[in-house]
Amino acid sequence: MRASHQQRPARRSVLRLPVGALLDGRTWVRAGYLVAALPIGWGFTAAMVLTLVPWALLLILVVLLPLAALTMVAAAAAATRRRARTSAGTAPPAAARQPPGPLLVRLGAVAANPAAWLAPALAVGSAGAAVERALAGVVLRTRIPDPYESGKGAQAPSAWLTGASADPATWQDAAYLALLAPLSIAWAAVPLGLPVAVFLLTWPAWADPQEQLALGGPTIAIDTPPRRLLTAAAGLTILLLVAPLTRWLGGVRARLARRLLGPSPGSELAARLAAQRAMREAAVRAHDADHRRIERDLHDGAQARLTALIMDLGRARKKLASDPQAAQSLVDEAYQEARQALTELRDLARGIQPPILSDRGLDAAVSALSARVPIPVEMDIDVPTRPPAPVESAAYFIVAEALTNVTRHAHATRVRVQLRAADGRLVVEVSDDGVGGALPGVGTGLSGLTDRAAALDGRLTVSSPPGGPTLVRAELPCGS
Amino acid sequence: MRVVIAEDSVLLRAGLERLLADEGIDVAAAVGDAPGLLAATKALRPDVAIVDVRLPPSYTDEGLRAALEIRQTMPATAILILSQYVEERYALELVGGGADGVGYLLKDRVGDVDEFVAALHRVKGGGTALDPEVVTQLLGRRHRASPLDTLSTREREVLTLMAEGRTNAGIAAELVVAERTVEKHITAIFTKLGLPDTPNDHRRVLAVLTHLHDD
Repeated sequence: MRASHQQRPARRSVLRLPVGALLDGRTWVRAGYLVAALPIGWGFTAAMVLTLVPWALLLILVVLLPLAALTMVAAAAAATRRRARTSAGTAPPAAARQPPGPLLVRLGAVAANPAAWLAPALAVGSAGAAVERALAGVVLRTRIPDPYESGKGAQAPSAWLTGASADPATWQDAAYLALLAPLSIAWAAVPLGLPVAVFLLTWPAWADPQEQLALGGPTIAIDTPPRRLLTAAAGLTILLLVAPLTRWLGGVRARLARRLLGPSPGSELAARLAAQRAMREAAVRAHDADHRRIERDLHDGAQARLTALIMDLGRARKKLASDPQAAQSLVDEAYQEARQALTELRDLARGIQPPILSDRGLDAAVSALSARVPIPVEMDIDVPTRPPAPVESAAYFIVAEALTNVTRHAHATRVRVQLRAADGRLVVEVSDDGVGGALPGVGTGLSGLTDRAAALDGRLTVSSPPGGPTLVRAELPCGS
Repeated sequence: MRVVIAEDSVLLRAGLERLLADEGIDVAAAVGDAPGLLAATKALRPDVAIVDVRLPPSYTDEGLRAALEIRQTMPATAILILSQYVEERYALELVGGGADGVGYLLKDRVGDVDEFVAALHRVKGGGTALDPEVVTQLLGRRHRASPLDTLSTREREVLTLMAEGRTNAGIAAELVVAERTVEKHITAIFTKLGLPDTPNDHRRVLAVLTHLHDD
């Protein structure tokens, strides 16, 4: 009893794998994936070879044919010279001295440049690799990023030509496809067992019992019930063996494609490091820009006011005895200067870190900002929990700078400020109905804001077509 | 005395104009940038050009560069640089071609009207007016052992005032000593620093500055 108790679940587990694989949708997707290796591998490899044909012909046309022609012309010239010696005064044929035409020279230059004639083949290779990446992505249920170093932005065709052959990733793509062609036979062989198995399994049921299946030497007959049963059993066995094998092999093929076509762990690490460096640089730039602004504000504001105040007091001191009335009015002026200087220092301090922001958060701070804007500001703030201080501060300064720009340049009649916290991000939007044409990046406050957002791994976009409207939008991660 | 002013802050430009007018100094022109300064100086040939270091459009040292150009092309016009900061490097560039008729003062020195007007007259007369702040920087920046270390405290005070461009009489008045005593100190300083003694005031300043610069 004990023994049979132990055996039953064991036998069930032996069957669970093949039956499970048979019922698993992935098995059939992967079967198709494995078979697809045949047309992809052979098709793209053949296409790569075909692209080289015109260049081979061109090579023959501009190198071999002219060589033959030159040889012939030289022979003819020699013959003419021989004749000239006998009948003097005949000029040699002009063709012998003429250089090849400019078109021919240009074609020759192209033919002699491996980068130019390899480029189409590499392009085909990249296209095939892109298909392979996409399919492997489907099988592995993930996205496989391509490993190209150069950005995928629009480039001039010539730059693309040279760029493609310079990037080692394109060579890797082409090599992969050349390798895939022979390998595809092995990939496709296994899932082809599935239709064979299905055929054997069902054949005894629908075929004429007198039919025989010749397999070269041995034959399979289904003329008696045991033979029919045996044939069907063989079909079932093959099916149960091939199904898990197909599922497994499909995974192997997809992982191999990812390994060979995806970015190497090293380059992924390099990309992450580059992103980190860009963030750090943006942070430093934003920091420097802040310091420069503060220095400028102090120099032009409070420092100038206090200097003017000292001048007035100096003059007043001299006039105290001789002209007390003039001295009095100078002291009054100095008093005003001093108050003005204090106001400017207060504004500057607020500009560095507004106390209301630290004390009461974005809602209060942005409300205070909008109260100083001379046009109506519509506020829509929904930030239930306070974001981390650096994010709060960046959002505040983005709104402040955007509102300053609206006031100074936009000629707007209305402006709308929206702050939203969603999906771990704080989204800041400032839109106006003004004249537009705001340009980020030309030493404006907007480029400082871009750096400020980038320093927090966020992004700032400005949409401001000439004629308006302008939308400044920032997304700031509030990451843990 | 006729002066031109180059100062980008409207507030300070107006303040300076009024202050100079009070002192009976003729402000021939007041401009806000370097090209304006060069044009006004060329056209009006003032005795002194009063120049802010930071001028538009770059707000770095454009005033200083314009002043150096005036010294080269129009040496009859003395230069008085006014700035919110004083930098020894700027001072050395300014006196590089000779310390005669050059001044470099912090803007707030203007508040001591008599002192400021005296400095103006000094540079107009071919003398020198360096801000005590600059002189402190110049005397204080030494890290290595220097002949300056051999000077007594009193001698350092005299050297400082000398570097600012004061005359012997001015130094004597400042330190409340006899002029004769000042002369004795100066001889001692020149001996210790290994400089040839010269009677001419601004050449003396130049000798001291060059010595400090080369050290």
